[in-house]
Amino acid sequence: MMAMLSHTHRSDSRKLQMKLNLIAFAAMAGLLVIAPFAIYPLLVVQILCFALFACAFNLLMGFTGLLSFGHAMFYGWSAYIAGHVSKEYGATPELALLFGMATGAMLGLIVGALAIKRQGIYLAMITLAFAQMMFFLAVQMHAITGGEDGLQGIPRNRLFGLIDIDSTGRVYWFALGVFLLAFLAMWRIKRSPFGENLKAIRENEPRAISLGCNTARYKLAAFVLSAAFSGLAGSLKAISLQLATLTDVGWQISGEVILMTLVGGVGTIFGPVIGAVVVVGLEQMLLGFDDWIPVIYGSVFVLCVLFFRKGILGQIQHVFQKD
Amino acid sequence: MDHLSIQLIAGQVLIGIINGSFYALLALGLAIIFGMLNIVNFMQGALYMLGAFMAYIVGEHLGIGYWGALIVCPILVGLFGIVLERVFFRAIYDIDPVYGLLLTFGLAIIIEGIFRIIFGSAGIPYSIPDSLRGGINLGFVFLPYYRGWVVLVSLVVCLGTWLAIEKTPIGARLRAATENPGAVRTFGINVPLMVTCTYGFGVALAGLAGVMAAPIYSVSPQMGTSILIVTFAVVVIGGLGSIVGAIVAGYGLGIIEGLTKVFFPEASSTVVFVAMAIILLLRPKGLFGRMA
Amino acid sequence: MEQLLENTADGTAAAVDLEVSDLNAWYGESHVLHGMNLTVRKGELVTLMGRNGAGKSTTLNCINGLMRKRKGRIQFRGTDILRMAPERIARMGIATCPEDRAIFSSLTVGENLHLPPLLNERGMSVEEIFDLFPNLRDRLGTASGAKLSGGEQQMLAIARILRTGADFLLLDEPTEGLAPIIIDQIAATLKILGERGYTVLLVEQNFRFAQSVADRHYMVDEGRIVDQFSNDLSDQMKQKIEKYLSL
Repeated sequence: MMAMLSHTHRSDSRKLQMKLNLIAFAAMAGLLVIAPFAIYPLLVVQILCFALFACAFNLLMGFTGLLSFGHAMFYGWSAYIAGHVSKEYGATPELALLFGMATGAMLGLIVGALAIKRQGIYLAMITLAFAQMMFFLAVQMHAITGGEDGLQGIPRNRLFGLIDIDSTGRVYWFALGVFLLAFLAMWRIKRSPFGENLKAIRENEPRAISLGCNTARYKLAAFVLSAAFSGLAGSLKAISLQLATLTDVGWQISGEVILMTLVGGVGTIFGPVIGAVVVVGLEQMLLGFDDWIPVIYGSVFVLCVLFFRKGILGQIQHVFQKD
Repeated sequence: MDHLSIQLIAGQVLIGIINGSFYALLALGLAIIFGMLNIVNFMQGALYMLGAFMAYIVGEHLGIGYWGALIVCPILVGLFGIVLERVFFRAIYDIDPVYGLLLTFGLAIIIEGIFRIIFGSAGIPYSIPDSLRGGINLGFVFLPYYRGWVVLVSLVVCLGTWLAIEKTPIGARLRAATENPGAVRTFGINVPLMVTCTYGFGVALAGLAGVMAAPIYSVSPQMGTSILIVTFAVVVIGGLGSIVGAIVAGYGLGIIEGLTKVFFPEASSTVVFVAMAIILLLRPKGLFGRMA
Repeated sequence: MEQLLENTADGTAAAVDLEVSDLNAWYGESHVLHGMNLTVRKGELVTLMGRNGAGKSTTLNCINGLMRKRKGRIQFRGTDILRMAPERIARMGIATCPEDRAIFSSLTVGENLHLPPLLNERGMSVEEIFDLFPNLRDRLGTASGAKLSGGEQQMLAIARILRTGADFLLLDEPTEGLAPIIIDQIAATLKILGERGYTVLLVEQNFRFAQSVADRHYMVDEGRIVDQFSNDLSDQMKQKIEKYLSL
């Protein structure tokens, strides 16, 4: 009887959680619809791309507990490939995004297959090293990446070959649409049986193995998915902001995406979005004091790790769960 | 093979050994710190940079010169590391080591950022000490004295550290504390103090590498991170936490990098990472790795 | 209960070495010791007996300082050691031989033996130790402590704390998993230690062994002492003891 009661209580609280999440999603979508009227749209697009990137990163760190320190390679290289196919072959935006995602997924498959069996700290070092290799390759492979100059003035071709998105106003709606769809897809993945298994692995891997779960395969799948969505974020950025440079593929970006996820709340659904807003917001506040950005980022990192490991949203949830 | 290409190869191998000297020193510090603290110290690169800048500041401006800096700077870097360990690390020893990496990453970009604010990103020139100018022609290769000196110091320090850890009573305490710190404490050995000193020594090695690098590479705020990432690959190849692995992989990869410059120059910046991928395929624990 | 206590006081008023009162301890959130009380007099060999998970090892780890979350009072020779760091407690003369023996695989047998620093001049010499454990003499050059047999590891673990001059020993199940002949050797060693004036707090599940070496027994269950009696009475209490030890 008690067990049943607590069970219904739990499913009640799950329903409540779901309701809250739906309200939050509606609020987020609503805010994003109004945002371009208040803030410079391309700045919001930048936030959207980072938010998508952070959500993709969270798919790995938050839902499987694996820390990658090299996600910039997926983000940056997808940006190059999406930019390249748009520029050289006139690929339509949706195709460019697909190419970008595929780039991320393929890179993720290779790196993941090599690295995924190694735990925690090892994985972080290996991904960081591979990302650095991809950075050097980006410097050298001029024909695709434009080397030190990067790809400038990437064209925004017609969506599906029909719809013109080549204006600040139009590209915003395009970016928002991609972001919301990808966000919903990742949310769905988290709630799927696959996502539940990932959670089980994160919470108790030996137990998951003893239950017959091929945890290495699950982790690899999560790694590839995370890389693919990071690739989507990178290619969205390349098309909307018409730019893909070495900055996108450098280790600082890998650090930044960790920071966004950490600040917002590792493992929460909306945390990475909040993190992206905070980090881009900080950058805007420090405009003109660019030199101070690394120092501020570093301090936020240190503070988060020492005192604030749940992040903004995680902390809020923690407070509410106590009541 | 004609005379010229032998000279070319020998020259690149020499450069490789010099780069390897720095990889080995940095990887050795990382290995010692990881063994004792279970933390991958992302600050190793930033403290290497700190050592190089200190050589410039202390050596040039306080007038103690290169030789004074060579002694003083590693000690100062070590003390700085000890302060950081005492202030920041205590809170994270009991949680996932991933947080140690994130914490030291944060501290590293703070240190790097501060130096960028003060000195800008351009390099600062630092000259070779007068007594080590010039060089000697060994027939197959010209060896500048300073570079020979760097290799010598690095070899002596690496070997000395290895001997101290493997063959002395203090080394035995260190090894024991790496295995089971609690049991070692119940013998009356102050393990927390050992942890702090180990960290200090590990980062002092980075400081030493920095001082020695100052006259060779350009001294700049970003000099630390790029070499650190290569060092991470070196550590993965050698086996995380393995002292011998760090030293052997450090020199070995330096030499491989040098040889790649001769035969396939386009790949010289990526060869270390390719080697890491191959090792991960063939020997996932690294060449000398013990742990899973 | 009253009777038993009187029997333990055998007239000689030996000094109290260790007094544990109202000791509570936690592993994270779970409360594992619930008001542990025990006394060990100088020169005594006292056992803590009970089932797995009763709190015996935890009690030892509270005394040597390895347990972090602990409350109550632990007096050692008049000093409160509850808040002290393990290394300070050790330097007061308390030595631990843990259940896993803590033989270090990256150290040679010799290095293992010489690892604990000497606390005073009163420790055994290496020669005396080899008289106690002759097998160790031949194994001294062994490259890794992990290469020793279980019995040899146990002897090494006891031997190395006898060198230091510590005279209050915490031994955690030294007979676990060992052959009878080696258990006998350990029993003989404990008798010699008793003659030399060492005080021993021994965690055991092997009642026969405990009976052959101890002066007094404490029964531990669910994190507290539930019974105690002198070894003289242990034959009469046999059934009761077996009940305490059974699962």
